[in-house]
Amino acid sequence: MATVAVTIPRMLADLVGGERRFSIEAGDVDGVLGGIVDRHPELAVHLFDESGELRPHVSCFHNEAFADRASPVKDGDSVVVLQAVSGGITPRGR
Amino acid sequence: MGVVLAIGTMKGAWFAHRNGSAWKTDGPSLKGWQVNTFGRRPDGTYLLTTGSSWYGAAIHRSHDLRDWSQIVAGPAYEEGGDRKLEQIWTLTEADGSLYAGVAEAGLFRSGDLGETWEPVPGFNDHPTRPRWEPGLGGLTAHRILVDSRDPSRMWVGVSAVGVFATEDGGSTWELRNRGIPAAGSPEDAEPDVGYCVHCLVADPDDAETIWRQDHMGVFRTSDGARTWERIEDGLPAGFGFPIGRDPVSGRLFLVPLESDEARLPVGGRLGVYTSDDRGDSWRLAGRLDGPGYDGVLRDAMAVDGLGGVYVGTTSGRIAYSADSGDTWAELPGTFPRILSVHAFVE
Repeated sequence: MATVAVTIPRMLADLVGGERRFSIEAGDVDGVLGGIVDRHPELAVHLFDESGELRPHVSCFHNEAFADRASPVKDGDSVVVLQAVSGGITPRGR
Repeated sequence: MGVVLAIGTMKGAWFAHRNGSAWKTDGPSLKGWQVNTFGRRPDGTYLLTTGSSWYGAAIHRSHDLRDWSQIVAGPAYEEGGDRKLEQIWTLTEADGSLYAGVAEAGLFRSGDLGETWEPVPGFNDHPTRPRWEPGLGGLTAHRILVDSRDPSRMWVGVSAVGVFATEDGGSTWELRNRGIPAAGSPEDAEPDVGYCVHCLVADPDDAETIWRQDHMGVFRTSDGARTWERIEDGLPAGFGFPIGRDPVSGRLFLVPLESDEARLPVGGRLGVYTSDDRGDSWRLAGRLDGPGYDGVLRDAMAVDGLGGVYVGTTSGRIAYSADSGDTWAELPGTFPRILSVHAFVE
């Protein structure tokens, strides 16, 4: 198990008391994501859709590169969850 | 008694407290989040729902309209299934339970004040479900009506499917849309699905009477939605989204828009129309300062039960009447695109 520095988007941090940066102990990126949800269960619905995959407009970077969820992590690594620069209002409106 | 107006927008929620003609507005709460609707639990706790173009849909609770916390086990479709829970558009209390109407269209029930939710299979897996199609606003269960005298009787509006009714507490549902033209179908066609209901409001003293702002016009039923009649006398257009009823005066309110293609205020001035006679005829109640080309979405009209009527627009303006529609004023300031307004009496 490695200790990884995690950063989450501000909008999600606002839901969990403002905690934007914290550490997670895990063996791979998938474990880091699971650790985020274990620490803050509210975030599960925002990170993952019904398929269990990251939502289409949520990006995850491991050491500043697109993350492979199966990639192992080591002490001092960083995992950053980002709100992708995409999306916005859909043509549906309401 | 004070009134607080909850304002849900594309970028958060605001809460306007009215004291006579003066307003004090707090917010934003859930800054940056799309706030779709509001509700209140039987224990008085406030609820709101959020959506996002990036993240998931959720319900949040607050005791004071300031500090909000997200409910972890909100409505959700089965993991690995083919349905996506995109938005939560309405919350309704019925006989101690809470119901949520969502997109993709579905109904969820909570028996523990909203902390956990379960699907309503008789609705979500209705035999017609494979033929449900979305309207422009998605495939959306957006309005839930409950017979206060017999909460086992409920009506749910789904765009663009139609009005469903249950007489057994949600176990079984039937479509009730006779008399409504189906959007995109020949006038005399009577398909079982394909009705683009935009909003519903019921007579609290007679649940059999329901008024309906539909894509295809304004309608009324007096037999629990089994049959509908068109009621547009005096309206400049039949198209629109919200419809409301002030319980003090019994007046109905709606906001006509020019045609489903244009979706603009008739004549370039947004007008609220009212009916004094249960929809038999309509007249102009008030206009927002114009010219104006904003619209009003289906959840953006509210009444407070004290004669207050509130209308929030797509350009962020709020018009209100404190006297059942006789006179109108505007709330100070503008907000992001308004999706919903709800009035709570404190």
